This record gives sequence, C-alpha cells and structure tokens, in this order.
Amino acid sequence: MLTLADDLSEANMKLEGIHHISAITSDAQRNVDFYAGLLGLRLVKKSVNQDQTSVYHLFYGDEQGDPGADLTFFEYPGLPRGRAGAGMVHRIVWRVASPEALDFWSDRLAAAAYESTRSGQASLRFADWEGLEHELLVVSVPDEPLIANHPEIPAALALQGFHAVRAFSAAPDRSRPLLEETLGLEARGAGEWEARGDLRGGSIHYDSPPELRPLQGAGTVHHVAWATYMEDQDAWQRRMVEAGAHATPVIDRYYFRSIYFREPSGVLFELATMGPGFTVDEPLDRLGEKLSLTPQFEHLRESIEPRLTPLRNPREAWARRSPGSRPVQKARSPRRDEESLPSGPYANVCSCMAPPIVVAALVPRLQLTVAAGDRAELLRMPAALAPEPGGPQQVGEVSPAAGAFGIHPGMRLGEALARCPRLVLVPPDPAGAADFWETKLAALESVGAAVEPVRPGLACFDAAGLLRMHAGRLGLVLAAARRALGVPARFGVAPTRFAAVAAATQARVRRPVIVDGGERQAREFLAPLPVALLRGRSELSDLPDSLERLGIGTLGELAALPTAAVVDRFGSRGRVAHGLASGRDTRLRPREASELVRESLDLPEAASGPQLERALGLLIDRVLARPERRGRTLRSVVLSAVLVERGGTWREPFTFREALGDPLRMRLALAPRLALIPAPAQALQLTVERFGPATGDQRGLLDDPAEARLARLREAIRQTRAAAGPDAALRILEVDPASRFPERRSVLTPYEG
Amino acid sequence: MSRPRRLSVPRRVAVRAGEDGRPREVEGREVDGVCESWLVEDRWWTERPLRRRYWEVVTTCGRNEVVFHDLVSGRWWRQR
Repeated sequence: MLTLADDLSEANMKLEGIHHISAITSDAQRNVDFYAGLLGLRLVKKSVNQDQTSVYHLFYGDEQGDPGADLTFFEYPGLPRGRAGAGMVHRIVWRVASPEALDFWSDRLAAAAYESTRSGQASLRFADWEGLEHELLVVSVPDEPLIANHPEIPAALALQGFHAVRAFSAAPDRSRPLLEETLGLEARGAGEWEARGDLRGGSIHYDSPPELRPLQGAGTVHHVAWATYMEDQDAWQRRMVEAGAHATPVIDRYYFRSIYFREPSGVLFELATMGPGFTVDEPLDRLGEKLSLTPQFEHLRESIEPRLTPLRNPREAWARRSPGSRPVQKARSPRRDEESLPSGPYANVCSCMAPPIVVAALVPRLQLTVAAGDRAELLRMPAALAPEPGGPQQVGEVSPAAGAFGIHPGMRLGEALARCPRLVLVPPDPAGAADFWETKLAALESVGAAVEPVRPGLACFDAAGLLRMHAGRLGLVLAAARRALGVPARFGVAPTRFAAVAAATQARVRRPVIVDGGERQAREFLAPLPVALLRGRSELSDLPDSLERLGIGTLGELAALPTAAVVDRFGSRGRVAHGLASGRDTRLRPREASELVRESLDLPEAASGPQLERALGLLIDRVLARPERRGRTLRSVVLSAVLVERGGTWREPFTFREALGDPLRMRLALAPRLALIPAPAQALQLTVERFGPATGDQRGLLDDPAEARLARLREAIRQTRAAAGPDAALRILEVDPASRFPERRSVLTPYEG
Repeated sequence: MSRPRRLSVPRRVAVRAGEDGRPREVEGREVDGVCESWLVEDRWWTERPLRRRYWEVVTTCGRNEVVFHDLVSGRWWRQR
C-alpha cells in the first residue's frame, strides 16, 4: 500500500529531458565515421544487438557518456533505407551555443560533401548519409552543455546535447492527455511539449505527416527515451500501466533500466534511468574501446566477437597522434556572457522596450458634475451620486465636502448616510456623463492620442508617439490635450497606467505631476501614497479596506510584502494589487476610433409597456436602415432612456448572443430590457457599440439537416437488417490506427446507429 | 456476428525467397519488382516477440502483393 509520502513524491516525478535516441543504420563503420569522425561525438559504448548478436549496437555521447546527448544505433547490415512517416521521429534537434557554431558546422559538413540548409540566425539542417535528419539550433537554456572532445572541433562550437525531437503525427492532440497528465510534459505551443526537469529539458514537436506510408529502415529513428530517476522507475511503470499505455515491465538494460510504450501518436517512447551509466563496465577514459557484452552474453564472447566486423574508431587515430593531450576532463563551453550577445539587428532591442509614457487625464467628479447639472451649489455641499436604480447600494462620486466626512466612492449607502446624515444624494445620469465624456474622448483623439477610456472623467493615452509631433516636449503634448479637453483636467504622467492615474490625483489643474523613468521610479513614486488609490480599479474596490485593517496603509508597504504572501491572502486580486504597487501594470489598450450610429425617439407622453416596445421596433428599423451600417450585422448596442422623473437617465449595454441583422430577433432580445427601465420614459435611444461581420450566422428556419439524415440512415439500417440478417450492416472501427501491425488497426463491428 | 472481427489479418502464403531474403516467387508467380521493404519489430521484451520483414512486391502478372517474413517462425504471410 502506498503511503501519503509516496503519493506526494510520485506527484512530483519529473522527466529530465531526453535521455537517448535510438536509430537504425545499415553499416556500422560508415556510421562511426559520420558520428564520431565528422560530428565529433564520442563512441562511448560498443555492444551488440541483444536480439541478434552478430550485429552492433553503438552508443555515441558526450565526453562523460551522460544522458541527454546519447545517440545509439542498431546495425542491420544491408537494410534498405527507411522513410519517416506518421508515428515516427523524423528529425533530431541538437543544441549549439552560437550562430558562429552554425557557420562552423555548415563549412565542416560541406568539406565532407554533406549539404546543409541554414534557416535564419538560429538553425542549420542536414541529413546523415542514410537520410537521418538533424538540426542544430542556437538556444539559450540554463542546462549544462554536453560536449565531446574532438581535435578539430573547438568546445565552444561543438554539439551540446539534445534539444528536441520532431515527429510526424496527423493528430498530435491524441497524445496530449498522455504527454501532459501522465508524463508531466508541458505544452509549449501548437504540437509542442517540453519535459523540463531539475537538470535538463527536452521537447517533442509534432509535424503533420507526409502522405507516404512510414518505413522503418536504415536512417530512421527507432525510439526516443526520456530520462528518469532510478528511485522513481517503479512508480513510473505503475503510472504508465494505470494510464492504459500498455507499458512494458521495467527491463534491465544493464546501463539503465527501461520502460517502453507507444504514445498515442505512434512514437515509441522509453523511460530510461539516468544511472548506472556507461561506466558500469568500463572506466571513463576507456569508454567504447572494446566490445562490451552484458553479463548474459559475456560467456558467448568468444563466439560473438569473431563474427563482428572490426570497427575503426577515429578517436583511436587522433589519440595515438597526440598521446599526451588525451582529453578526459569534462569539457565545458564558456558561459554565454554579455559580450557574446548578438549584435546587429538585435542590438537596439532595448530602445523598443523603453517604458511607455502614459498620460492620465482626470476630470475630477465628472459624473457628479454632469448629474448635478445647473445645480452647481450641490457640489459645495456634502453630496454623492445616488446608487444606480437596480444596482448595488453603493454611492458614486462624492463632493469634496462629503469626502471630508470620510465618504468615498463605492461606500455602502447606509454607511455613507451614517457618516453624514445631511448627505445629498444626486440621481445619477450615466448616459449624460458617458455622452459628455465621449465628446471629450473624441476631442483627445482629434489631437492624435490613442485613448484608453477608463471611466467617465478618466482616460489614458501613451504620449510616446505624440512626442514626435510636439518636438519631443511633453509640456506641449499636455497643453494640446488640455486645449482639446476644454475642461479643467488634471494630468499625471508615469510609466504605467496606475502610476499615471495616481499622479493625476496628486496633480493640480495647471501643474501636472510627471514621474520619469521606469518600473523602479514608478514604485518609488507610489510608495508613500495611500492604498485607497487601488479603489480606482473596479475589481479591487474593496481591497483597500482589508489592507488598512491589516495595517498596510501605503502602496510602498504593500509592494514590500512578498508576492506569495499577498496572493495567499487575497488571491488573484492580491497579485494584481501587488503588481500595481510595485510599478507594474498591463499595457494600455487604446480603443478603436468609433463611428457613432445612434437613433433616438422622443416620446410624446411618458411611455411604458407596449408603447415603449413599439418605439423600440421603430428605433431598430431606423438603425438598420442607416447607410453607415454597410450591410454589417450588429454585435452590441446600448439602449438608453431619458426618464420623466427628475430628468434622470437609464442606460443598458446589450451584447447579442450572436451578431444579428434580423430586426425581429433584435426586438425579441431587447424587449425584455425595457421592463428594467425604472420609471416612465420621455425619450428612447439606441446606439450601436460594435458591428459584427457582414453576414451574421442566422439561425436556420428548419431543423438541422444532419439530424434528418441520421434518422433516415437509422431507418435504412433497420430495414436492411430485417431483410438480410444482423450482419448486413457493419462498421469499421479504428482501434489503434497508428499501429505498425495492420491487423491491429481496425475491427469490424455491428453498426450501431 | 456476435463479436468484433479484426480486419487485415495475415493469411498464409507460399513464397520462395532468395539468399538475401528477397521474395522471388509469390504463390507460384514470379516477382517482377520490389516496391518497398520495411521492418516491424515489437514485443521483443516478451516471450512471444513479433519480428517481421515486410515486402511490397509486384508479380509478373501485375499483381501488387504485401507479404512478410516472420523472422521468428520463418513463415511467410500475405497481408493487405
């Protein structure tokens, strides 16, 4: 029985990248010449195929024979060339340190009459003499480079071990559950998964397969092995069997312990332990020199060895030439440091990454001002926007006098009235405020700003582009924005939206607050400010109260806390707040310049019920008749009304479930909203917020034709069976379409409609 | 039919092969050419390993045949 500790350690089992890759060759000597001679790998083990002892099993690797760079070949003398296809690995991707290494390898391969294809700065592709494809990829990973010594290949340019394999699969998603849930690989993109452990990472990419049938033969990959820890191996085996992967038992391969299984796309996987390793039967400095036979074959050595063709290992030749310099120490490539960073097109990448210059334009209490209308004296009294009809019972914007009572926007109505019983509640006019602010946004856009509206009275834009139009002077940009707005606005400038808004709240009408620099400067600026600023974000509106209760009064104190602690206490909202306080924020998302399509209808007398519905029908017809629509469907609209009672307004944004062009369906969708209008209305307005595509998906008038066909088919099968017996209708069911044995691919079963 | 039936089950076939393993005659008809040949190995870790050398050949009468040599038992089979 498993203990809890076992469960936990099993849950944390990781694959440490690719352990080895095994392929097939038809000629061991030519294979050694290519991989040890030309590519400079070390032949770390020379053994025989355990199923056919007259032929070799060769192992190449780095100087130490470490997992992660071990390429092995089974020899089948005279076997014709294979062809990679569905369910097979077709390319081995190796790491190299730099583009210079690619130059070196393309020259070295060309000198030996091998063609190679360079694509971009980072990749070189070639094939060995039997058509097995390789790719050298310049990658930057923290993994230790696994390098073999070779007199003609400088360590800095040598192959550094496996990065990935590329396999063919028609449906890589079939492999997803096994790769992600059972093996713990992580998706890295379409058809790409990485096994990243504590030591190394390695990936598998799936490409769509060629038409031709796969042929396992010379120059094809037989299997790919992933590295495991010895103590996990039994647990891995259990886990694979439980996952229904038809895994083998743990097999002792002498140099490692192995589990084999075929993953759902058809690629043969092995899980191999990172030990005992190739030094189990030979000292490190003599690896691969003599024929290694595992214990069960050792007694046959005298009959096996003479039947093998002797192999010339190029390493012996150069070791003899310079016996003193026989390198056995671990070769390490120099760490990639600042100097080796690529220059040229990437050198100026920093200037593109310069922090944005976010300008926040704040018109304080805009909503309250608009709602108060000509009763300006309200603003000098303790006043607050009343809760919106039907909304949460929270006050909106508050006048300065109300603020002095400790009332802030978003406070519950009861609490606000308790703090100041004289509080005047002003009925909100969301439509009026939105309309007013819309004209201001359009004015800002007219001076070239890409505006992100935050809420009525607050908008942000990035000044980086505008600076060029104003001789690089921020003062001129702000002056232009001020003129465009035409109302006394306060400006804050900072690297992030949040800091800019905070700066705007600190600013005076003629004195903008400017925070120059990047994340650090933003953090320093925000540090002494109160956490209450977080209320500006609707999703964080109740966070400041909790923070203050915990004694966290300033953003600096919040930023100083460990992220984990904040997230632990407040969840994702805590993460957002902590990021904001630390001078980080999401990028600005400027709105797209809008085109206003709006129709309104004055109602002769206070209307409700069926009259409103008729008015709505008219509005819909008028909006649809507008030439600006250009045949497009409508995606979302805003329905608003002017209420008879105290001139209030009501506003309801509405997004259709699918883009519509049909007035009848729009009417059906919008009519129930009319019931939400809190009082009789004297005008009704319909504004298009967003258009859909030109031809929306309109629901069919009739039933699904597929359904009708299926019903006919069922009836046909019933009749056929009745006439010709139960075997008359069969279905071919794919059981294991990727199997290499044709008889396992599909079965014939009774058709079940 | 009570239970599912496998498709593409191998059938015995008479093949005369040369020294190199290449089929010379299939069912008494001479082999005109070899289209493709491939290896399939599986279950080698069990008591009953599967080791097959497949050949896709065309006989002189124009028939396309896929046959395989079972490397364990030494028998020849035809498979579609």
